[in-house]
Amino acid sequence: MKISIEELSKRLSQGEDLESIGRVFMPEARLELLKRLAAVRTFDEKLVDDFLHPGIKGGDRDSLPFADIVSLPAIERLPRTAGQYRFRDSSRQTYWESWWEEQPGEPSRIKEPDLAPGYAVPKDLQELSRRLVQYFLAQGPQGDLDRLYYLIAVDRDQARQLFLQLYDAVDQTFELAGCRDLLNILEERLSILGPELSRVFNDYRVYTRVENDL
Amino acid sequence: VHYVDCRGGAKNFEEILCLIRDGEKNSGSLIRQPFDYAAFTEFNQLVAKLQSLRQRRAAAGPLPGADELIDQLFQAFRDVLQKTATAHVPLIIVLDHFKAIDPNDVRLYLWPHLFARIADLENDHLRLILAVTPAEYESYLPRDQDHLFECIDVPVFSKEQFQPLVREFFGRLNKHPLPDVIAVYDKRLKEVGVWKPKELVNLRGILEQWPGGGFI
Repeated sequence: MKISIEELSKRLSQGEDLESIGRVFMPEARLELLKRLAAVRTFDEKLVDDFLHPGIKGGDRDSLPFADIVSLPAIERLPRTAGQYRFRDSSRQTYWESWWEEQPGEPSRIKEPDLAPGYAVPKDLQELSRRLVQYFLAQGPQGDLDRLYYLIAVDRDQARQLFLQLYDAVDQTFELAGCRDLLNILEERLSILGPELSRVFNDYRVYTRVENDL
Repeated sequence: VHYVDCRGGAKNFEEILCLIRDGEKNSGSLIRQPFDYAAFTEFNQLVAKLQSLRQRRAAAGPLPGADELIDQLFQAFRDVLQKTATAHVPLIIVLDHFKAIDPNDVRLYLWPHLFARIADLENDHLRLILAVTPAEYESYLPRDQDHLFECIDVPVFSKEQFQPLVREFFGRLNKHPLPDVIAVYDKRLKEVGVWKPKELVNLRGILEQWPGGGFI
C-alpha cells in the first residue's frame, strides 16, 4: 500500500502511532517475515534462511536479504555475539500480535476452547515453533533455553516438565543466574503461558527470590 | 566513554566486572573497546580464585570465606579504573540494560564495592552512568544513599525538542528527510505535546519506505 502526506496526516490525527503506520505500507513479504521474526527469541542468518524465509511468497533470501533485514529499525544486534540479532522489545509486540489476526476467508485458527483466546497459539505459529524445538534439541544443552522458549508455544505440559528439569539442574549448582535465565524465558512468553505454567512461573519466581535472600 | 551492554543472559557481579574489562572489540564502536587486559592482571587472578570457590560451594547464598577475596578483587578493579581516568583522559563508564544483573549482586557487591565507591572517590575524572528503567531504579538502587548519585529522568521529550533532535538524528545518518513528512508529525506533536525517542527510529522506517524516496 502506498501512503501520501494527506494519508499520514489523517492517520496521525486518528491517534495511530508511527510504528503502526509504517507497518501498513510495508510490502506483504517483508511484513510476513517481520511477523515470523517477532516469534523467534534471537536469530542469525542460518535460522532465517532455514526456518523463516520458506513459504513467504516473494520473500526468499534474494528478495529480502539478511543485511537488509538486520538494518531495519525494529531489529537490533545482540552484544558479544557472532551475528545474533533480535527484535527490539519496543517493536516486537505489534508484529507478535499479528499472529492472532484473522486471515480473510480463513476459519479461526484458535483451537483451544478451554483457554482464554489470548493464550491460544495459532496453528502456524505452533508449527514454526515445533520445527525450532527440533532445531535447538539437536544443539544439546546449549540450545536448552531456546528449546524451552519454543516448546511453550507447542506443548505447555512438556514445557513445564522441561522447565522443572532445567531449573532443578541449575539449582543444584547454586548459581542463581541460571535460575534467572530460565525464569526470564517464561517471562518473555507470559502472554501464552496458560494458567498452569503461569502458576509455575509465579511459584519459582518467589522461590528464587527467597533463595537469593538467604 | 566506555559503554557496556549487559544483555546476554543473567549475570553475577564478577561477570559484570569482566564485561566492563572486556568491552566488545569486534563491535566496531569506539565506545565499546576493551580496556588493556594486562592492566587487570591482579584482578584476573582474583576472579579465577573466586570462580574456583564458586565451583566448590555446597549451599546457596553468599560464598563462605570469600569476603576478603571479594574485597581484594574490587580493590584491584577500582585501582585500574583510578589509574585509567586522568585529567587528560577522563573516563565515563555507562552500564546499560541493567535487568541482566542479579539485584542481590547489586545490593551486596556492586553497589557497596564499586558504584558507591566511584561516587565517593576524589577522582573527578571517573564517572559512572547507570541506565535504568523506573522499575529497575526501584529494585536496584538504595534510596538511603541517594546523596551519592544524581537521578536524571528521561521519560519523554517535549514538542520543542523534536526539530533539533530530528536534525541531529538524521544528520548523524547523513540523511535529509522530506520536510513535508517531518512537518506533518511536528504538527501532530503540537496537539499531543510529548513524544518518545523511539519515534525517530519509526520515522526513519517510514521514510525508508516512502514512495519515491523519503530523503532528499
